Amino acid sequence: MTAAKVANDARPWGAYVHFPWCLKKCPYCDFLSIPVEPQRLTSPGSSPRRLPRAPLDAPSARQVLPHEAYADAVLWELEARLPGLNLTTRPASIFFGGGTPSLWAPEQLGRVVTALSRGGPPRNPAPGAARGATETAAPPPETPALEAAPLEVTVECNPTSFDEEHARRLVDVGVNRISLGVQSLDPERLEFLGRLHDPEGALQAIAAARRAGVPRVSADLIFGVAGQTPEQAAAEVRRLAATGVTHLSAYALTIESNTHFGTLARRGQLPLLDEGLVAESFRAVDEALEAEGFLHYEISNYAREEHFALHNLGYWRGHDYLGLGTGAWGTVRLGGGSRLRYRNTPSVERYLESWTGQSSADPYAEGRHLADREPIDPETELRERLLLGLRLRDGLDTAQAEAEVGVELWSPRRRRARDKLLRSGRLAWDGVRLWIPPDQWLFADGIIADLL
Amino acid sequence: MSVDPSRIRNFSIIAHVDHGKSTLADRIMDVTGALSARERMEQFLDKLELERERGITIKAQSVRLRYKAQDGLEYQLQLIDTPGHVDFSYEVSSSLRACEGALLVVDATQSVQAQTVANTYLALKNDLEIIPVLNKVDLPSADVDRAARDIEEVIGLDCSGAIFTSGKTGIGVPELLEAVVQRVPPPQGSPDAPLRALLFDCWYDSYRGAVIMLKVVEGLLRKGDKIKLMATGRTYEVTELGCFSPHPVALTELGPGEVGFAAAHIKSVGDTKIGDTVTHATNGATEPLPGFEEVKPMVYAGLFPTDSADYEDLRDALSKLHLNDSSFQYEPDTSEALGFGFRCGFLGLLHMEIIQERLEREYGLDLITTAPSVVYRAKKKTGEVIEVDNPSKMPSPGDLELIEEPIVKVAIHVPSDYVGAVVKLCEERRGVQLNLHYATPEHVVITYELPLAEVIIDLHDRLKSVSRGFASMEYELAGYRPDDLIKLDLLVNGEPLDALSVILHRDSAFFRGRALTAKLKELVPQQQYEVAIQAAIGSKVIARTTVRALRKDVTAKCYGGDISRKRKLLEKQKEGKRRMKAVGNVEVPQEAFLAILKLDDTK
Repeated sequence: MTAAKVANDARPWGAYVHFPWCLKKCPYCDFLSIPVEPQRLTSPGSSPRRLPRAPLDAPSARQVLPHEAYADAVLWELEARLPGLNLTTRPASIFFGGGTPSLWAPEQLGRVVTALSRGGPPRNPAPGAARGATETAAPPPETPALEAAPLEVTVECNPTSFDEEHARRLVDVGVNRISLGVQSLDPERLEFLGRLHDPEGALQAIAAARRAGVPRVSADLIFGVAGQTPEQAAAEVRRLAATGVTHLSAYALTIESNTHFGTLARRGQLPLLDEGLVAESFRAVDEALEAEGFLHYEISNYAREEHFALHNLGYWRGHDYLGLGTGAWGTVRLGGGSRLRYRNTPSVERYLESWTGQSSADPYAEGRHLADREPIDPETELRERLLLGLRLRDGLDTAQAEAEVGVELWSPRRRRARDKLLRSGRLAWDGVRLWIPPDQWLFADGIIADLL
Repeated sequence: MSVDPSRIRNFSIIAHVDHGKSTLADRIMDVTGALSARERMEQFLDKLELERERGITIKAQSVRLRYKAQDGLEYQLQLIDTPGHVDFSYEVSSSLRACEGALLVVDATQSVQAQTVANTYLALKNDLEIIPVLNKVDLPSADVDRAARDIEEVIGLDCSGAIFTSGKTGIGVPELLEAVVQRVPPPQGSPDAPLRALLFDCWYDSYRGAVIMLKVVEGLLRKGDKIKLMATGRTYEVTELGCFSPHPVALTELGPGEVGFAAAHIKSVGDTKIGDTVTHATNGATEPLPGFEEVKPMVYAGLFPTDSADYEDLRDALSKLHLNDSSFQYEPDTSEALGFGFRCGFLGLLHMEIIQERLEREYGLDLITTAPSVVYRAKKKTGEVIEVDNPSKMPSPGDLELIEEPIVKVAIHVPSDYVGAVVKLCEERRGVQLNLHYATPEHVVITYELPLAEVIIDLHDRLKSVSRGFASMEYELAGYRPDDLIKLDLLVNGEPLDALSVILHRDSAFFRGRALTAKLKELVPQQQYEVAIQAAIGSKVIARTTVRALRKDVTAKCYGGDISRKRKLLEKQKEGKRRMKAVGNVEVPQEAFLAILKLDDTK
């Protein structure tokens, strides 16, 4: 093994685990989510012709969800995926996203945390194994010593399926960061966004997480909704900042074509805020949060002190991430050194069928268990490093990117594009670090496109 | 030893694009055994990839074939390929002059097209024996009676001896070859006369320089001979003689009636003139063969690199392309808006597109092409006459006495249902009707005199659209005529964009100015500030639109599952920007410079 290879394999990586179920699909959301309906538990979406059912409440939903079977499948998947990767460290971060992972029984979620934080699954995660008994298996002697760096474990939670007790149970299984889907503190906007909670519920959820001793609490917020003034957007983030959250994700409402909002927008039936006001709201949110002591460290993310979302920083810095669970995306370096992006099947039935036990098939090869598979060549990886890194206030460490990807960044064409952007103040560069000045973030896509 | 002229048959194939000329030519090579099975890839004669994609033969290639006829004798059949587009009619004419006969190939599922008619007339003018061939008879929609009647009534050619073929199945090809032997007259010409050979094609070979394709009309041409190209008076020594069969075969001599190629250390194709006469440097002929003309570009446009750092590359690429195609001209040009580039002259719009595509594809250049312009003649008050091939050279109105524009005679063939629409279109384009002739109750030939400038502004596309694709057209230069022409300028944020200036008739200036600014509003992407687009005649603004400022262009969420999709979107955005040119601080896309060609007259 060459020195370069060692360095390669020692790079930090993250694990993303997707939990697909939700109480109800939000009209703006284009992530894979499956509303919990007792008779149609495992199929994504629902027939549009059917009248929408009233959503279940969280306790009823939890009663019908296949908590243990899903955890079993994720563990089998993990066991199949790890050997192909030559990893020498455990993940630096684990992120449970969804869907609504706060619907998942914490002890089942905890089995996945345990397996991942050990750097591998228990030897025998068979469905028959008693709950909790899985922790007994010691790592086999040939497993290299794992880095003992602090591990960030985040769970996305929804105020409708989250309380202090739930928070404590999550903390008990190793979760140290909660990301709460607040979205708004205005009753009308919450209704417009199709959320099932009210402002009070959102604030209570934050308080519950803090009381339960969750070390880091983050809130998600959507601004730029029709009828919202920039002042209102700023006031809302100020209120949230005052709750004690140490991290905020503030997203301008984006209409994705494959959502209910997308359909309404195509028909011209969705009220939208003027682009100029969205831009002003972006600036107002930035000013309000910076004044509260938050650092605007990524286009849509703010953190107090050092409370950055480490897992997400991994994406923006181009680290690998293992994707587990229905519909999850992963981007990994395979044993041979080539980089692969894959997406698991979005069908829960198919996912559960695919991971029912030990499998000898190559989990990275095409098959029913995958919905998508894209080899990422070094040139493409470098372009992705640019498009991701330039979202950060710190920008991209170009020397490191070139060294890790093994491709020269500054082709004559790209150099000319860079110099032109530098002259117009749309880009900054200190010889190593390349970044977009925050006052140009509203135009980041065009700037990045120039450099690709 | 050269073959006795009585055993030579020189012929070409006249056909409309898509009527199956190349397939039929390949089938002829098949039947005569010229190609091995492995080589029977489709359309061997269309060499360049670009041509194949467009289904057009641009550079003629001519093949010598051996054929044993039913009379028991062996004949040397010489197929002379001709370019198949209106822009290259002089090259077609030169190729036809090398033949004694021609196959008029008409798709039996379609009707006679304008291009076919024009080329048939060219062939008749050169006294060629014409054999009508109805092709694609294997298709269920073939209607040979109607196609034959069309040929008789539209072209006036007797179809009683027409041959029915299918290039696809090979039906009728042996009969066709027999007809060539029996009906095409052998070339006449004495081997003892001083050498006169027609130069009808030329291409560039990186080892041999310009290689010329010749037909010896009289006399003998041998390897090692000193030859003279009569139009330029330059002399060369023939280092190689040969023919294509279809692979190159070396020869020691070419006798009367024979066709072949010669290499003679000629530096570039620019040193040769299509239609020129080749003779011996000493004791040569005194009179050249008739019919030689200098080809002149009809359409001019500016070519600029999107990235000004590519200027040198563009210059190198143009000079390389010019080695192989001397029919386009180029000279350095500068534009305030676009920087350094070249003003290029082309035979026509298709020729322009082909050159542009080759520059982009073969040389990897990103180009901005300005709207094509014709060559105007401006008479100044001082009496001086200047040729205006670029709107920026237009004298100011105060200095101008008179401006004349090139007029073309356009023949349009159209089914009778669409006569009204075609006439309306020509009238809108300042046309003067010369003739409207019902060749058959369904097939109408409309002849108009139109300003060339109106023809190159999308007339062909519009004609196709008003006739549901059925109309076809063909044009030839018919002189110059004065008219009330003015220069229309476009301003972006108050700055004149010289590359967008056009010369127009005063009557259409208001309408086109408004349509142009509206079109540019669609094409110019939103920038971080408002962009005003104005059309002006002199200092008078006649139309204005505004591109609103871009307020935001940023993706809110980008996490692990978004990266591929996001990257593809940004790559697409970049692709769009690659073809943009920064004019001042405004990004203007390539399409904007050709907007004048895309205006919808019906609005």
